[in-house]
This record gives sequence, C-alpha cells and structure tokens, in this order.
Amino acid sequence: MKFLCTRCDEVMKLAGAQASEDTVGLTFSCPKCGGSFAMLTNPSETSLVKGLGVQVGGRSEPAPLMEVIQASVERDAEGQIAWDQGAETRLGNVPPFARPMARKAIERFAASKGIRVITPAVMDEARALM
Amino acid sequence: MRMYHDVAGDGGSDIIGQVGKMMERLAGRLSTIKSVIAVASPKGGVGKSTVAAHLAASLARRGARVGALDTDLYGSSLPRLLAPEFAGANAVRGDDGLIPIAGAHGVRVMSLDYLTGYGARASVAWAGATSSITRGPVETSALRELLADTQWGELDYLIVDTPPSVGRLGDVTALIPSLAGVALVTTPTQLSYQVTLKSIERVRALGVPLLGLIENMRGFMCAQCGAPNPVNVEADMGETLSLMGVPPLGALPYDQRLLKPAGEAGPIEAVERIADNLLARIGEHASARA
Repeated sequence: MKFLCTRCDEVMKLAGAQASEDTVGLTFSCPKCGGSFAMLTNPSETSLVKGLGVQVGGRSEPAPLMEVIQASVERDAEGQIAWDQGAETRLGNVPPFARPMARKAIERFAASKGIRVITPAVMDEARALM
Repeated sequence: MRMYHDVAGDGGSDIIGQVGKMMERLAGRLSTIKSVIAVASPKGGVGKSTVAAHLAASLARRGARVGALDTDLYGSSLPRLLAPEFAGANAVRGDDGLIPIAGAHGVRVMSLDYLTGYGARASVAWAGATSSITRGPVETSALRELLADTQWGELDYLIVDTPPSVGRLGDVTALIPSLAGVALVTTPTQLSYQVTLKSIERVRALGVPLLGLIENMRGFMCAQCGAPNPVNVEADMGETLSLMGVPPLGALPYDQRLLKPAGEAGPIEAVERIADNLLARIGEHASARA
C-alpha cells in the first residue's frame, strides 16, 4: 500500500510502528506539510500478513529461523499449572501412551478457566465439558 | 491525485523482495539434497507414515544420507516411528539452521513437534489463526520454514511424509519444484482405491512424476506357518493401474515388525523390494529428464 497526502499529493513516509499482540499501529507523515495519520490493522489482516512470513514496513535483517512457527504457535502452559497428588494418581489410570495427551487436555481446560492447581474435582469438571 | 502506479516502489514493505529472499533461502537448502520424494495418500489410515518411516530407514541402512520431514502439522508420526527415544525433544540451533533429530540408522528427522515443545502432548494450535483463511498461509509458511530452516546438510534422499489428502501435496510441489516424485499409498480395499484413483489425476495435474503405488496392509503373514493370507483384499487393481499408467511399487502385508519403530524392526523384505522399485523409478524419471 502507498499513502498520498491529499493536500500536497506527496507520498507519505512511514514514521513509526507499534505492535501489540494481534494488531499493528503504523504512523505515516507527509514530508511536505507534516500532516500525519495512524493506520491500525485489524487482527485478521495482521494474522494473515504474519502468516505469510513477510514484515510490514520492510525487513533490514534476514528473517530469524522458523519465524512464523515461533510467532504463531500457541505456547505450552507446562510448568505454570500444578497437579495435586490425587489428580496425579487419577491420571495414572490412563494408559501410558495416552497420558501426555490427557494431561495436556486437562491443562488446557485449567488454563482457560484460570485454574492454577489441578485436582480430581477439576478433572471431573473438565470431563463433563469434553 | 496520483494513482498507485504513478508512485515508485511498493509502499516500503518490499513484499516481493522479502518473498524472493525466502525462496532463495529455500532453494539454497534444497540445493544440497539430491532427491526429494513425497509419500502421499488421499486417504487417512492407510499407513502412509509407517511406509515413509520404514522406507527412510531402509535407504539409510543401505548407506544413503537420508532426511525425513513430517509435514503433517497436526498429527506428526515420524518422530515416534523414527526417533522414539527423542519424543518431546526440541531441535537445537546449529550454525546454519535447526539441527534435525538423529533417528533410525542416522535418518535426519524434522517435525513441528521438535519446535513446539509439545512432543507427544497435544496437537498444534496456531495463536490467532483460527479461521481457514488465516490458517492456510501459516501452514504453508510453517512447511516452508521446516524445509528451509532445517540444517539438513548433504542428503541423498529427503522423504516427505504428507498428511491425508493430496491438498498439502500442492504446497509441497510449489515449494519443491525439483521434487523427484510422489509415491502414493493405498490399502487393497475398494473404498481406498476409489479415492486413490481420483487423486492420480490431481498428482499428474501438479506436474510431478508419479513414482507408483504402494499397497499397504495387503493380507497378513501367518505367524504359525508363514503363509500369506489375503484377508481384507477386496480389490485387485493391477489391470486398472496398468491401463492408467501407474506402476506398482509393491505391497506390504500386515507384519508385526512394521508396528515397531523403524530402527528396531530390522530389514523387512517387502519394504526392501519397494525401496528397490522406488529407486529404480526415480532413476528412470531422472534419465528421462536428462
């Protein structure tokens, strides 16, 4: 995209960029009259552009390794959620090959509810909703 | 007021330049790989990843330098089949990319599992990319990065295991124009054949060599007497495939050894025959191109 100052017919220059978690704010200014505006991208467009692996405003350094993957993949909550003894014992009833996935599913449920410690009651609650 | 083409440049992002650099990086990486082979199937559950893993191990056992890339972003199987001892491991950074995990017989394995920290814990979820519109570009970029940002080194063969459906195959062929070919996997059931035959035209439309068809789960070997038993064989498609110009690469019976990780299974005669046929077909296509 290119931006023209409607007063001066001058190409506006990128003056600054600010990124939040899912949107970007770009400031453009007219080199002639100094007029400026901010373009605020919506989350869907921002996600689409990020997904392509290109950087708005250009790139002066080579892209970091696995940039899109590292930026896009949802982070694991491992280590942030504790399991009490009763919950661990109950998880032991799940066959070993399925245990990591069951653990992850319960942790996701707990994270979505802001629960920090998983107990058998939390497991019941999760199971009821699954 | 001036219009877009009246103003020089592209607005400052140099998107074309950025994409060009991505593709340069990818081309540089692929330049050290002699043959990339995609293992694909339009149908799930036909044992495609098992076939891919055992083929990779077979080639490596012969002394070839082999890589294996799992492009099934949501259901990676190669880590468990080729390097079970590294389940949950994270790939570490080398001089020139992420170092693949050393699997069976030295097969260099890369999967999204080695980047997410999830290991076998859960399937991948993309933050913010929840719709198919936003998820598509992320998936394609992830595939490009797994290819381009992995320090594969010199390889004789890179086996690319694709997810069910030949949709991802389009991404693979777009990213790897030099693809040596596609090996399709099916089971000997009418349903699987019906879907597989449909996909043959799709593979041809992509302009990549169809190396042939592998029939998996074709009967089983009797554990008592060793005789083949044709259970599950609903379809004998030899004549049809011949008419369609699809060479058979071989058949795999149910075999307990195929359930083991590829590094523990030892040589399996049927796999070895398929690997022989695959290499012969790659040679034929390379000669035809030369």
